[in-house]
Amino acid sequence: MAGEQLALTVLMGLLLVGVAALLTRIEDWQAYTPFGGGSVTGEETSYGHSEKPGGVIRWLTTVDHKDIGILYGAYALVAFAVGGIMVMIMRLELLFPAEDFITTGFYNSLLTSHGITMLFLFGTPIIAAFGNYFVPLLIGADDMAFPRINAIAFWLLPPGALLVWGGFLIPGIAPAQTSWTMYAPLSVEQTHLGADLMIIGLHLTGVSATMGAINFIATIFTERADDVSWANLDIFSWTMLTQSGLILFAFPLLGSALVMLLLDRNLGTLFFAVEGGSPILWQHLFWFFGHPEVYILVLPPMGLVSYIIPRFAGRKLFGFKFVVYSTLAIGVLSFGVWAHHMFTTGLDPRLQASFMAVSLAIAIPSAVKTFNWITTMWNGKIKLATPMLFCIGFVANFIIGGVTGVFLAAVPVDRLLHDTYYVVGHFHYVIMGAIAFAIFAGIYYWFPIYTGRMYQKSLAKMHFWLTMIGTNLTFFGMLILGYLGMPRRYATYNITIGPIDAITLLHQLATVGAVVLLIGQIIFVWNIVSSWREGRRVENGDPWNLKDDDLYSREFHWFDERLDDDLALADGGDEDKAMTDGGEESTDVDSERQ
Amino acid sequence: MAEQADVGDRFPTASPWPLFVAVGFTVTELGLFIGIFPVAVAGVLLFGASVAGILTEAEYVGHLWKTMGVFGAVLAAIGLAMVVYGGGVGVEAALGAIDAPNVVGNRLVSRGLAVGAAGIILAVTAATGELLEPAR
Ligand code: HEM
Ligand SMILES: [Cu+2]
Repeated sequence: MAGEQLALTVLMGLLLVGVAALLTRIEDWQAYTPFGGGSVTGEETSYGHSEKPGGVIRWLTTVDHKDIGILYGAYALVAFAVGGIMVMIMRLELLFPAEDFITTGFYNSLLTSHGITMLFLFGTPIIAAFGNYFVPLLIGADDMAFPRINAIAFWLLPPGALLVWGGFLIPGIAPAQTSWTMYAPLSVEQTHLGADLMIIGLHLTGVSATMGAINFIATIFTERADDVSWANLDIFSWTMLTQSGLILFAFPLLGSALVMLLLDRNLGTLFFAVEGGSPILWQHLFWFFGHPEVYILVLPPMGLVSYIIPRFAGRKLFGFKFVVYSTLAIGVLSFGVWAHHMFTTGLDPRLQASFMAVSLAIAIPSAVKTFNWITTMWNGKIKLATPMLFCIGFVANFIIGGVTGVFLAAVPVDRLLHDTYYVVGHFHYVIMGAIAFAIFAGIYYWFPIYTGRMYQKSLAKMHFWLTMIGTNLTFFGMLILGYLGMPRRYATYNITIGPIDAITLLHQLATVGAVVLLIGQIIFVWNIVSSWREGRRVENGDPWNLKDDDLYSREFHWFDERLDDDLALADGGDEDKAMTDGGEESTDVDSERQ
Repeated sequence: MAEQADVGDRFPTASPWPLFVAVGFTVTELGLFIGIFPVAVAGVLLFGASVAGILTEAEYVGHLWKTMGVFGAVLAAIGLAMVVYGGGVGVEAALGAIDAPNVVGNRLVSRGLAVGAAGIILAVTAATGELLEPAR
């Protein structure tokens, strides 16, 4: 009844005003400043961590770019695990042709949630994690340009994830079954409350990405140290800048389209109805966002690879300028190819031809990068440490992912392969085989910086090989499945025509690959967690011997200074750095060098 | 130390507001899109109050209560406009809309009422605050 609702509202209102009043009261966190003294945990250090409150409150209130980077990273890895478990259930269901142990409806829900989780809750945030932690260090900034906006952007993500997964978490409501592309009319007509929650959650993550992007752009433009010019800006920051530009144009559009979808669903508008704006309008809006989104996901990982490969090849990045130009070229072109996802919708053939041309053209800057990576390694002093292994894996997998993309961009080929497993194989080669690999490379490469410790080398190598083998088993199998005509997004394949035996075998191969991947990732998590807690301390500001080849860089310089500070005086801010003097362990460092 | 203070000044290391801004925004969207009146009001309130809070803390604006008051007034105006445009003027119509927010004819009105109500509460809170504590 309206009365009840109003009573509830008044109650909530009072509660909130109370909370707000309380907050304005304790708002003076400045009581934590060194000058205020008297804080529980704050002790003076020479690099300004002292103002942070302690414990959980520190993490809930932090606006420090490094803390926020860690929060993003932790969040993204949790999402990676959730999305991974979802897809494991799907792959097990696909082990045999029939509907075995989950319903097709549940399969569809998992499929939808897996895609959204991996792209929006893992991919975009993990890149923001690297960006937040390292861009300010790489460009010599004290922090991001807008620290509070940075924190808001992060805090939009956990509610976003809960909403995206809401259909599974809240008993009694059905999760969305729209697939990640949310095509109308299905997405408008599906009554599941889970779909509304998912769309709202997705909208939140979009707002978050946009805020983050504005912050990166402002930071890279205005906060660079005096000696960091456009000419010597590092390659990772270049890709973050370009990516942020793409986000700025792509995500607000997704946000608007999602709002239109919500209005169609709940307020009776007709944006995507046949008698209104037409369902095809959704596809145009979605892919105008969607294609740039794949480059939003791939550019910073490409930056990571361009940044890391030279450091294990003992020489500078070959053709640095052209790597930057190709980044910018991809950024621009990526907005001109969206209809290659719509070749089978009855688009005017002249338009199809032009979208085909631009899509083929975008392969050129991608190839420029690939050749630059290969040339950088050519005749170099290759050190096969884990970060480098993942970078080489990136290049290998990206070539397969890219070439299959070029095939798909050709209209006649796409007619055959559209909506088959070939497409699934194509984009997983890029997303898992390349993007995730670069992320792993970054996690291992900078591990000493954000943990002060070294990971376990042999576990890391196992992680690499299992991931490399698993990825190729799973996704190469999918490419062949696609050639055999197996359509994507089905929970079953108990068909009576076609090469059924081969299809079954390839599906089983893909599932075996997925299990191999899972084992690899369990090793990864174990390695990260245990090394973070008790790995060997890194006492040397140059754990990768970059100085030998004159490739030492700003973030390790910063790390080195911090090590010196730690030796000079005890750090009160956070307990695992409390060691005042680790000098006796320095002899171990050599054995960590790979 | 002087250099330190500088950095601390420009770059705060902690703020209570971002979390609340984010949660407020989330709850607002949930309430407004799905159409749950109390949730929508709560969301707008939390969002409005924390935006006023964070702006004051960051010194983008000088006065907490004034900011909150202006914010509330604007929201109240928007809400009222939605109600009028949706044809929901009158106690009967308003209560009906809150009761059945997703019925044709009530959709806009119910959302408008939520925004408007939250705006008014914000404005009143701000006025009270100004009376009790004019310094902020
Ligand atoms: C070398 C440049 C690339 C070209 C020419 C290309 C081309 C294509 C084409 C034509 C399709 C549509 C296939 C179909 O549905 O019939 C497609 C799908 C897709 N591509 Fe690519 N691609 C390229 C690179 C990438 C990259 C770098 C990523 C990821 C970061 C990516 C991710 C995807 C995804 C996610 C889909 C499937 C979307 C869906 O329907 O769910 N592609 N690609
Ligand atoms: Cu595309």
